[in-house]
Amino acid sequence: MTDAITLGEHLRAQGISRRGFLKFCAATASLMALPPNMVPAIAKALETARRPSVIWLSFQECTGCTESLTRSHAPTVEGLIFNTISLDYHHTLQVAAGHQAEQARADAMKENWGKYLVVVDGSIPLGDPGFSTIAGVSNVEMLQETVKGAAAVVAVGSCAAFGGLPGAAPNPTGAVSVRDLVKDTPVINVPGCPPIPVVITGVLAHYLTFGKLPALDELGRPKAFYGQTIHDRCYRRPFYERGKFAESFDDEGAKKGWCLYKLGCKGPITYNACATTKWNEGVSFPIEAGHGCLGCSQPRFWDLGGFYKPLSQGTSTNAETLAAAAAAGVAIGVGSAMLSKRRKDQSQKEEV
Amino acid sequence: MSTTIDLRAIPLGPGEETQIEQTLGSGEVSATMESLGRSEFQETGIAGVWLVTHRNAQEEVIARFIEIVEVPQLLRSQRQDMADALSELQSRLAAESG
Repeated sequence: MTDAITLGEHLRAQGISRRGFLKFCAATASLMALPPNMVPAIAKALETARRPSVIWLSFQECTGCTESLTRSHAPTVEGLIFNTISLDYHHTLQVAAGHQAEQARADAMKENWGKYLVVVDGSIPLGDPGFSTIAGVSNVEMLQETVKGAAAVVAVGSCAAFGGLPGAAPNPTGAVSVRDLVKDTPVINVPGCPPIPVVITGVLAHYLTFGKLPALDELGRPKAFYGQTIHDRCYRRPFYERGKFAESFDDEGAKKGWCLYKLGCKGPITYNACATTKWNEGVSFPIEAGHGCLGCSQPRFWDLGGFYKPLSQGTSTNAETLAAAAAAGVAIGVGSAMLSKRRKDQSQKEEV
Repeated sequence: MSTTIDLRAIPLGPGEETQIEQTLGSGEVSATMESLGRSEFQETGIAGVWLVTHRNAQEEVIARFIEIVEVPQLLRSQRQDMADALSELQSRLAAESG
């Protein structure tokens, strides 16, 4: 059910003070990767925001995206469900089962026609629609039926956004992404395998706050989170620029925290927020744990030629290529950092 | 005038956040706020530079800011809360006298 009252009223009715509300706004600004000076604008928008109804559809997926969502700590998934969104259908998290569950989806659609959000995790098999069904309904049929009255669709995870693992060569199920099927409703891609928990909630919070989708890049990803590469913001970047690379996972360079480029790190081509937002309540991210980035938020990351092959030449790891890569890295790095900054500045400008 | 820096927006390597804290040091004032979980306000050894940590009800850090300001805005009593508090006070007094 969607409450008719605004979020501001809802929080106040729960005895949350103005201070608490402003704290919530400050955390939300940080969550949405917006500058702190936007807190007053966020407070103003959230005061009058109404809780949107959310229908979550799980197709060819591993539930990793839901696992990730439930580990979001700011806001927590409980906080999100009770305060900021009305999660009306999610077959892993909801209490109802069978016919009652499907009824909940039908009711939510009817009551909030034209206004609800659809979140999809998992790809959709077109090879044989029978590969994945819910309550006897094929994924493609359920998606098309459910998005008809939706204000927007959020494709959570690389499977929904780009086809992901099910879509990897040779794509036995004929898996496609949400954007391949949904043309008349705006689709926002939140890729990652899984996406960072607070990025999922951040996108929902953005919709709630501003009542519209955030600025997106050419792949449909919110620029606030996917505006810069892992490499752009990596704390090991200075080693890359000085040509200091780990050669194996246990050599001296690895121990000293040098750049993992030679060990196959996909950071330079991967747009995501891991280097700043980090994982597990901000503890660290793969590179900080000593492993290169797999590029999981990029299309077809499973088919990029191997997680441990360096980007430069596909399979080549000779010293000459890498020296050239390191030298070029300085120039390209400066250029791409500027480009990324422009993308980010632009996305922040568009929010105002 | 004030400036706020979101520590989550900065790519920090292992130990660098602690290094920032150590460089700034601890100042004369610290305060805590209990609202939607605990928040800590610590004036650093550099006057006017505050380290603000917001936690949720599970004590997890949800946001961290460096604020450069005389007093962080959230430490002030808020107008809306004061207005609500006045009517609360009136009803308490009415209950006592009634």
